[in-house]
Amino acid sequence: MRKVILAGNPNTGKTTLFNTMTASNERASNWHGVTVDIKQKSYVFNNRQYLLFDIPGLYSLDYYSEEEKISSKFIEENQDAVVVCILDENNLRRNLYLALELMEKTNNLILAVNMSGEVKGFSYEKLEEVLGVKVVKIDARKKRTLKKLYEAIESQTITQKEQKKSNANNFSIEDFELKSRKNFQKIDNILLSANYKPKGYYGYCKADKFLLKGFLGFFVFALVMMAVFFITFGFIGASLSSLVGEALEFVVEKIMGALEGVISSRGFLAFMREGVFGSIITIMGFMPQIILLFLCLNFLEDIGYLSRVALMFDGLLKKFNLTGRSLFSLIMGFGCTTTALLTTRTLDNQSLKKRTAVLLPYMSCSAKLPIYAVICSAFFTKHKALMVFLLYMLGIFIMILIALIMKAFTVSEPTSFMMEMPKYRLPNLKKVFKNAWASATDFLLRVGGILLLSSIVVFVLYNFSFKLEYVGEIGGKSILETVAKGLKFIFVPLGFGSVGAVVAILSGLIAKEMVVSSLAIVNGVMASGLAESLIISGSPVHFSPLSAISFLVFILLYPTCISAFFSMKKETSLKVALLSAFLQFVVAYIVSGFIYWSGKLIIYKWWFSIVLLFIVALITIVVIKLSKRKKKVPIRLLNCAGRNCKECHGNNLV
Amino acid sequence: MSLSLNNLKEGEKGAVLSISNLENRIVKRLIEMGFVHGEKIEVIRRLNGLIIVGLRSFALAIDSMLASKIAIERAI
Repeated sequence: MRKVILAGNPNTGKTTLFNTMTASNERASNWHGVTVDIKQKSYVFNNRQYLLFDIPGLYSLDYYSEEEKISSKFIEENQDAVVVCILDENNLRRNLYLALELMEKTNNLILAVNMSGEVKGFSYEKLEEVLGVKVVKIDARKKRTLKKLYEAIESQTITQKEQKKSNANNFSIEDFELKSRKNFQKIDNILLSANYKPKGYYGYCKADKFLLKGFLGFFVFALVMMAVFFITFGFIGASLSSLVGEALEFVVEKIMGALEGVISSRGFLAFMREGVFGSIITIMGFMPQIILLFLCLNFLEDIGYLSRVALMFDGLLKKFNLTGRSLFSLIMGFGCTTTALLTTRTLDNQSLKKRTAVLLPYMSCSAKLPIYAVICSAFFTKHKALMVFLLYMLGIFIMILIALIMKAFTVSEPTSFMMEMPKYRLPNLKKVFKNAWASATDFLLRVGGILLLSSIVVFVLYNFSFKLEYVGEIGGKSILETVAKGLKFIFVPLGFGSVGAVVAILSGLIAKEMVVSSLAIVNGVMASGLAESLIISGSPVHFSPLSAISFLVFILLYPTCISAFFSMKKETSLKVALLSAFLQFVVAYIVSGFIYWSGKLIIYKWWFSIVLLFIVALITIVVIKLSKRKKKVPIRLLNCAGRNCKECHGNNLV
Repeated sequence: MSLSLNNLKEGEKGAVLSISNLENRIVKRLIEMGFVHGEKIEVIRRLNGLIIVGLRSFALAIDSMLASKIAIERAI
């Protein structure tokens, strides 16, 4: 099987090309450095099989960072592979730099120029002639334009290149500058001879004058965010959601009717109805909303707006010791904390990465949405959307407070920010939908696999006693009830010390999607009846409006899920992951306790609300003041001695 | 008197001289982007502490901290 490696600068359409070539659905985006691992997939052309590798985006083959090292080594070690370097037609003056470096590493290079037809008069035949490398024109999004590329890969003769002793990682920056200067001059000469004259600056658009600055910029941002919120939680999302729920319930009723005719064991029937089908319906009902949220995020990312937002907020985020680049990870946190944590990998400063990772879980992830929706529709029918909005805001507020506290007590280098301006472009709707579809199927798999399984486990543990008898028939205490009874005293001060709420919280540690189905199992109802059953004081789990708020706040803030924990461990360290989980517990406990007791006091005497507002404001001011105090900034070492030298607190280390 | 990229106003052009006082890792990034001696640059826009610089026919946003480390000469 012939190996093919796809290389290229970030944001040149590399992953898009990978997807088109292999007809797969990897996540591509209009953002710097989304590919974080080497992906591989095979394709067939003219009855021959090829293995295609997608490596992280690179600017050059000399490396300081781990990611660059992986890619660079990979090309060096696979001398039997064809290397395809993808270039953006509009950005050749910079993209060709990598191509020149690749020519030093491999003999089997093909340049694929991603055309948009915007540069007039450019002769790619000339480019091919001067460079002595095969050049093909493609449009990475359209399969029919790729024939030439497939053919070029097929007919490429493979030869080994003798490797010069690699001095990457240990090169002097002066030598690097000299080499780069020469290469850039060479590129300019080559492009001049090929009559390459792009207009203006790639990535910058006149509209940026208005969209990025001042009042109008923020106004547009607020409008966009409100639109996303409305689409997801408002009329569209909610009606789609109930439609799916009702349809499924109809189907389940039919199946249950058939089953009841055959099987008479009440334990088994209850198990099927509530344990198996109940969980499926509850979760599936929220799929439309979750897909819509991902659709919106993907869309904004694809047209190039999301990275503009990062740019716009860089100044503000610097005040919290973050940069615009961390904002991207934070916004992705609204989708899924676990995947958002993976994007922190592209942050190039270790301490910034840790800080972003620790703050990320406070951005309310989409799996928490069903919980808000169910509980708010039970208690705050009229102000449902407002309540959900306030929860999101509370998460952001807590995140900012923690960021400021971290800033006050840690010493860190001033962060730097550098970002290519991605081009505004028409959305590739196919890609947006494909991405959303990918997240939907991912969601389905999660539901189908671990969630269904654990729902069943919860059902069994909740309905069967230690002697494995069905408690619904003979009475007595189930396994989970006994355990939860032992733990519930912890939550009494927060206002929701009932066995069912504790069961829901425990199951939420596995995955937040579990919470709603656990509540339904405990109350012995189907999804549609859940909201109603939470109000009735006779149900196993029920809330007062106040304890419902406290419960929601706790859900918002306590550790996200098992997979988020492991992805945090992977991206930072076990220590950071454990500390962060602990911090989340503490914060969740304190904040929901504070809110519960504040509520009690306000109900007792209304003027307490003023006192409490004053306290919150005071805490905020103290934290802001603390974060602004002068700290000793470590001496910036120009010649970093590496890991053995701790002078820079690890900030310079890669 | 040495001038940094930070001193250029919107629409002004210049050429890169050198980069100093930054970690090698970041200097390398800037070089890869095209900030090498003699390269022509233009400040396209300044906004909220960021500078959008045009060089090598593309636009790059950098913050003023980085811009202050890039020595340039003003084009006449």
